[in-house]
Formats: sequence, structure tokens, C-alpha cells
Amino acid sequence: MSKKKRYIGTTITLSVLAFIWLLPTFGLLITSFREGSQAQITGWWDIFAHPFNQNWTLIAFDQALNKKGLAASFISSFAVTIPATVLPLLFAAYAAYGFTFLRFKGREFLFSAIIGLLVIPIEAALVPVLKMFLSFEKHTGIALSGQYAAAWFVHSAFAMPLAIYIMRNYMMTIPTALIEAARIDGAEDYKIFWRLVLPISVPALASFAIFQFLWVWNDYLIAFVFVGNDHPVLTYTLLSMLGQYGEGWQVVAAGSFISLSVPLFIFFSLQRYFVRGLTAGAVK
Amino acid sequence: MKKLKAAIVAVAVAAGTTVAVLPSAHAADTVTIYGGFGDAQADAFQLELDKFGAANGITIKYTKLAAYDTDIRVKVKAGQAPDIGMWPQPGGLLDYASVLEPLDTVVDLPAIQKTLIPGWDKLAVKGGKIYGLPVSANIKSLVWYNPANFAAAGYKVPKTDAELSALTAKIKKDGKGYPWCVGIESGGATGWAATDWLEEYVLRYGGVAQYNDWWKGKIKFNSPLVLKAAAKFADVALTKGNVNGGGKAIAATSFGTTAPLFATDKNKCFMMRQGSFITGFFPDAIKAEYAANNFTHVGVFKLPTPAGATDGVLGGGDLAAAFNANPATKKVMGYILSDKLGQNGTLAVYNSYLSAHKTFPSSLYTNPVTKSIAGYLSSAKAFGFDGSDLSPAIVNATEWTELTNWVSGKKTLAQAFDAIDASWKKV
Amino acid sequence: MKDMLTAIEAVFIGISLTIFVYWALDKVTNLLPRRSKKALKPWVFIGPVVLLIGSFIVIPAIQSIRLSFMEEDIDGSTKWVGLENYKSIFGDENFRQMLGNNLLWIAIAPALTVAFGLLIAQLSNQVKPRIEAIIKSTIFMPMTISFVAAATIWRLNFAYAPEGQPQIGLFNAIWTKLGGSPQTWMQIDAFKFNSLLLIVIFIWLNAGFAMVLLSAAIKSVPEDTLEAGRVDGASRSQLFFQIILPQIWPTTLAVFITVLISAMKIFGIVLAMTGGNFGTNVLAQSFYLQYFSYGNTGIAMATVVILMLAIVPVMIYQIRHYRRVEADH
Repeated sequence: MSKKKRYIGTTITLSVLAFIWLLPTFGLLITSFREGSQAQITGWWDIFAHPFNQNWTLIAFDQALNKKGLAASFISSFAVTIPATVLPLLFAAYAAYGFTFLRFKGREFLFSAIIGLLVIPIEAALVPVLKMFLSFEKHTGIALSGQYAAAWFVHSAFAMPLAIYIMRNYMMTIPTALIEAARIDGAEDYKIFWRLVLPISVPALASFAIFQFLWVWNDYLIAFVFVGNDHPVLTYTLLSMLGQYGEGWQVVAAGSFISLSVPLFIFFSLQRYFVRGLTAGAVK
Repeated sequence: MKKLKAAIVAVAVAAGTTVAVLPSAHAADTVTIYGGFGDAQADAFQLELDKFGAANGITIKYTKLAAYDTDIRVKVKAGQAPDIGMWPQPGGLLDYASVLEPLDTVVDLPAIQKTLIPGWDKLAVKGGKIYGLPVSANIKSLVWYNPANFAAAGYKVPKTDAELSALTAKIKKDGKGYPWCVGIESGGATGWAATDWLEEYVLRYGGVAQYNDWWKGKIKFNSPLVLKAAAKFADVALTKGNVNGGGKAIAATSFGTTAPLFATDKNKCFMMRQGSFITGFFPDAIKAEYAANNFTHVGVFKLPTPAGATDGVLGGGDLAAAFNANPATKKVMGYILSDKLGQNGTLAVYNSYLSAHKTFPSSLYTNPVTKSIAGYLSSAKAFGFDGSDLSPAIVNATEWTELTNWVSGKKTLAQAFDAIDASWKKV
Repeated sequence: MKDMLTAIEAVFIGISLTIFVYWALDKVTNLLPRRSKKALKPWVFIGPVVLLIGSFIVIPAIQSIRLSFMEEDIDGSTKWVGLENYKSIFGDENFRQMLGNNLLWIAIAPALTVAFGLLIAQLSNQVKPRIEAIIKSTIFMPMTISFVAAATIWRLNFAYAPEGQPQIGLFNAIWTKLGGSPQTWMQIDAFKFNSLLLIVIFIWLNAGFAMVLLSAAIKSVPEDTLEAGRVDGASRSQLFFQIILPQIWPTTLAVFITVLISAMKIFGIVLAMTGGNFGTNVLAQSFYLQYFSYGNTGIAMATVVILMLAIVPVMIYQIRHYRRVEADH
């Protein structure tokens, strides 16, 4: 490191960029703590012009949570997101194990085919999947559409290509000798997977989990179609609030921050895994 | 063999739990209703439903859909249709006729038709069958003003179209504010508020018969009648200085932006034409005043009719339709379509509620503004239901988009109208 | 509270059921004779995923293609109409405008996003590690934001109030301070300005993604190759363009492809910012409108098929790229 030259100009340029990057979000955060009457007539930067003239308040958060129903949506978002994160991890880990350590005909072809699916847009599956749920209901009496579970399945399926790719890349770094040794000791694949490979793969699992969690948490389309308004998720409720600025921006701003709080918390507390996950997925 | 047995048992248990966990189709004595109205109106509606439900052993749940016209489509396609749906757009409702119950199998039609204001039973008819009837009405031909601001500037409420034009010109000249507030932004439905303006004048210039031909597609947008109506709207909204910021601002301002009406600085506006629901969009302080029957800042008059045109009233309403004919659904439909709805506490919670029944006791309208609005409704010589809402959904949506294009200056009136006319081909 | 319990219950049961299914599958195959057991075992691991992908991606995608040649009624009954949907799409002037917008997105958004990510990655490699960490976090942060929340943030930025009223949107506040009259930014379609503003939001959201990956690549450039350049007296920009860039080019390309695909599928930002109005409509947004607002299943599906066809070449490239990487191992 010491050999590297450092340039003060570079630091300044970067700081300016970071400042610009942060500014909009910062403005929204400020707005959410302002009183309606003030937020309506002055921009958020007014807090710098008149720092002692501000009526800070949490009213907007209270309104967003209780009057606009964001509190209930918060729970729904978790109910959709947690299984839609854990289940694909499990599916992908299993499949990656199969693709890495088991030999069977058509393995490479199947693997490439799955990766190729990465670019099929969700829109292409939406309508037929809806129909599928309906005919499933007709034949079995089990209504999946409108339940959290419907979103879990769809999210799981669309997470597969990337998840399997990442997991397999990681598992390929596990020495084959280790697996062979376990086999010689008489361990079945089921046992090797749960006792040996899965624990070793925790870093890759963690990285992907963060990724998937954020993706599902921020998703609108799948939740809108498959879960809908019986258990509206945050993005759904928030989108219906957009445009309601008659009483000022503070309530919508507060709502946005409530939905942002979880991703930001995860991002700042698990940043290391996050970056590692990204790097594992795309750089090879 | 022991192992096989264990495995079979395990699979059976798993399947069993799956079925047990997933909620079964909801109980027979529960009725779900989806609709478009929210806030106080929704609270009032639920309140009456609760009372009715308690007396009849039915649990009734009303849910507001964020964007009714899109959301109900997803719900139905996803197999999540409610028992009852309430459409603000009868045209949209009829798209669903094949999955709805004709109302003659659901309710005692003649009894309801007898109490309805004439014409309100003909809004959602397909193949001779009625599919939807109103649960509430609203009037669009209303101009809201602020009596305090009028008094301070020395303006009088105009009675004729000529007086209205004169007042508009005078306000502009005086420069104490802008004559009109117009906003048509509404997210994915941006533009609908502009269709109302157009309808006001097509109804007046053309009369009911031509008005009905127009929304049915028998009279084109690019026709003398509709062009004349558009010119009148443009005269009000797009004349320089009439609306703060002009056409671009109109397209960027939410339809529910009422704050300038109650402002006192030179950015205020003096008049705003909007439906009776707009009271729900007043600033909190004004809302509180209004709820307490304090009319210092809220006044309303009927949009005047140009000389020589038909005196008309434009309105809309929410129409209920039934997705099944279960006994509980029938009971609830019978109640919400009758003149009883609104008599059991609604007006105490939501004082802007208007019934579409002529037999609804007007003494219940304790709010004088609501009372006078109810008067416009029952006394109208020519009543027109919101035409764009009667048109097929694709024409309606195209009309929203294209009028927005015109108002914001992206297209000429002729281009916009041609595009709307073309959308009839896609029906 | 009841919501919470239902949610927890659903989460718990969903996860344990899935684990159980894998367990049961394993137990059942164990009962089989040795030979078939060996043949079936891989499918215990891969089978559920194949089933999942097959029933939720592959079959639906094929059905979508079929539906694009059909017309559907609200009750689900369908009717074959041949190429009618495609004809009506290509005959529609709005569609041509939309296609133009998609091309604009493809042409500008990925390149700028990658260029920006590259710039920051390279610059931040030259400052103190502490500062580097802060800068990177800041640039990356929007990546975690949903498009709806991003739309709130940017709607506030672009907020408009008529002349004379206080401007609470940052853009108009600055613009009017400079003497301009307040603008309705999302309506300015001259030179596709409003679409370009939407692309700015896209870059704001995605530059962090590109930056992180490219930064990792830059850091893995062997120090001795850089040292050799320095000894030869190469300037900073020469170092970057002649030594670093060629070495990280494969990564750059991979990032570009990923961003390109998300630009092709762009939907949320447009939906939440303009709803597709003012000439900003794009394919995926049109699918949404056609299907959910107009109820034209056939036309919606045809739109998706066109989008898929556009993505196919990219897909082929992606698979080839993957194969190459595999071969290198």
C-alpha cells in the first residue's frame, strides 16, 4: 500500500460524487421528520437556513404506520421474504451439490440450460403461473394464489439460476478428496450434504441469502400478483401512497423510510458478505 | 418393509399438514367486498355493514383496492374474486359480465328500481340483464370556492356561464390570485379528471341522447360536438393566466390538490371544479371545520350551463356487482343496493355520502352542502353518468392518456382525439 | 397480532415442509435396489429444482408464447387469433415509440452505469482505505432500495410547483435560483429528456453494483504489472487504460451484460415515476398496462415474447461466456 501514491484531488472528486449520491436520500429522510405545514412550503434544505425554526416530529411515521397501514405491510413483507430467502437457498444448495459431486448423464447440458434461464423475464411466466395456481385450486381445493406460499414458489424458481451458479462455483472449491474420504467411511450423500458440504458452504449461503432477501423485499410485481391486497407488502402499499402529497411529502417520505430501514440495516451490518456474494456471482 | 411404511406414513402426514395449513375457502357466512373508496367513506361503509351483519349473523369485510380497475382484474384472474365488487366504472364492470351474476338472480330488482333515481338502473346492462346497481352517487358538476377569499376580493357567486366567464376574466385582471385550480395527475390514471371536464360540456352542448351516443362510440371524439366541448374546457383551463403554471402544471398537479383554494397569498386560486368526494382531500384544518358544519372557507355552486345549451348535471357512482349468488351475498347485496344504505350511521362519519335513491330521506343530509348537492342530483333535467367510466376500459384508459398529452401540450387536440377514436378498434 | 402469528406459522410450516420433502425423497430412494438407487440419487438432489424451474419458468414461458397468438376473455376462455396480436402491436405508433425508448435505455444506461462504476472503482483505489470504504458504501447504498422508494426519493427531487410558489423539489429550487421558470421535469420529452432523467435514476441505483465488482477486479490486478508500468514512467491514465483495463476487461464485459439485461427489462422506475406517460413508455411497462389495465392478455403476451426475443442473443452470449469460464478451469 505504501507504494501507492495518494492524490488529494481524487479524494475531493470522490467526496463530491458521494455527496451527490447521498443527497436525495438524505433529503427524504429530513422530510420525513418535518411537520406537514413546514414541509409543504419549504424544501428540506430549509433546516440549514433556519436550523432553530424547525418543528421536528414523528407524526408522519405514526400516520404512515397506523393510518396508511404500513405496520401490517411490514409483517407481510417479512412473511413473504423470509421463506422466499431460505427455501431457494435450500433448493439451490441441494442442486449445486448434485451438479458438483454427483455424476449423471446430461449434467453439463442441464446446468447450462438452467443458467440460460437467467434472462427470462418474470413477466413471461406471470400469467400462465396464475392460471396454473387456479387449475391447481380447482383440482385440489387448495388455494395458493393470494397466499404467501404462492410468492415463495415463484421467487424460489426465479432465484434458482443465479443461486445454483453461485453455490456450485463455491462448492467446486471444496477438495473432492474430502468428499471421497467421507464416502469411503460409508457416509451417504444425504449425510455428506448436511454434515459436511452445507456447513462449509455457509459463507456462500450467507452472501446469496442477503442478496435474495433484498431482492424479494424490494419486489413489487410478484407480491402484487400472487399475494395481492389481502396481505399487502410494503412496496404495494407504498406505491399506492405515491402521489398523495396534498398534505405534504412527509408521510410518503416516512413510509419510504420504513420500507428502507430493513435493507439499510442489512446492508450496513452485513456489507462484507454482500460484496463477497456479488463478487462470487459475477466475477469468475 | 418397515422403512417403506415409515416413508409412506411420512408422506401422508406431510400432505395432510399441507392441506390443513392452507386456509380453506372462506366460511359461508362471511362476505367480502372490494371497492375503491377509502378513509372516512370506507369507515362509514364498514360501520353500516357491521351493524347489518351483526343483525343477520354475517361477517362482512370491506377492503379498499389501491387502484380498483387494475387490481380487481388481477384479483379475478388470480382466482381471488370477492363476493361483491364495487366499480366506479360501469364500463369496466361489464368487462366482467361473464363471471358476474345477473342481479335478477341475486336481489329483488323491481323493488330496488322503484326507489332508484330513474336511469341509474341502466348503467351496467348487457344482453338485457342488469349486472350492477349503485351503492352511492356523486356529483361532478360542482365548483368549489372559498367564501372568505370571495368576500375579501368582493366577488359574487356566478349564476350563469356568462357571469362565470366575466368573473374568470376579472380575477385574472385583479391579480389577487388565479381564477381556477385544475389538476389531473393521478398516478397510473392520470387524465381522468380532464375527461370529466369534457363530459360536462358534451352533456350540455349535446343533450343526453347525443351524450350517450358519444360514450358508446357512435359519435367520434373528432366531431364538431366534442371539439366544441373541448374548446370550452380549453377556454377555462388552458387560457394563459387562468391556471397557475398552465397546461404543464395541470398535468403535474394531483387532482386532489386543494391547498391553493384555501391559501390567502397571491398563489391562491378562487375556484375548483371537482366531484363531491373532494371534501375528503381538503387540508386537515378545513376538513375539521367542514365536519363541524362551519362553512367559512367552503362553498359550492353548480357549474353553470352555457346559453342555449341543456342544463345538465354530470355524476358518477360506485356500482356493486355480485360474483356469486350465495345466500349471504344475496342478503348483503339486498341491503347495500336499497335506500336503507346510508341511513344507519354513515352520514355521521362521512357527511358527503349521497344516495342514488330518490326515496332516501333528504332530512338525513345534515350537512347543508351535501343537502344542496343532493338537490342538484334529484332535480337535474339532464343527468349524465361519467361517460369515460361507461366506455370500455381500453377506450377509457386511452382517453386518460391522450387528454393528458393534449393538456400538457404534447399533442394537438386533433391528434389526441384521433388516437382515442382509434382505440375503439381495439375493443 | 393475529397477522403476525399467521405469518410466523406460515413461515415455519413452509420451511419445515420443504426440508421434510427432501428427507422423504432420500428415504424412499434408499428403499430401492442398489442399481436404480445409484441412478436415481442425483435426481433426489436435482429433481425438485428441475420440477420447480420447469413448472414455474419453462412451461409458463412456453404457454406465454402460445397465449401471444390468442385472445382471452375475463373468464379464462381463449380463442386462437394467429398473428393478429403482433399485427396490432406493430401497427401501433405507441409501440414504435416504446421500442425507441427501449433502444435508448439499452444504448445509454448500461454503458454509463459501467463507466461510472469503473471511474469510482479506479479512483477509490487510490485513496485511504477508510475513505474508500465510506465512498463505496455511499455509492452502493441505493442498490438496496426498492424502485418504489427510489421513486419517492426522485419524485421529491423533481417536484414541481407553479411559478411564484415555494419550490420544495431540489431540481426546481436550483433551476429557479438560476433564473429559470419551474419545470415539470417528467413531462419534457424534447430529445427524450424525461427518459434520460429516468436513466439517471437507473444509474444512481446500479452504479454501485458495477463499482463493487470492478473494484474487486482492479484490486486483483497483479502489482508487478503495475510496477512495470510505473518504472516505464506511465501516467495515471496510461496505467489505467494500458495496464488495468485490458486485464479487467472480461469482468467489465460480464458486468455490462448483467446491467444490460436489467435495462432491457426496465419497468419499476417507469411505472412509479410516469406510469408510462409523456412518451416514456417501455416494453415491460406496456405489458403491465396491457394485461392489468386493459385486460388484453394476448397483446400483453406478444409484448413479452418480443422482449424475450430481444434478450435471446444476450442469453446466448451469456451461456457461451459461462462455457468459456468453465473451460478455463
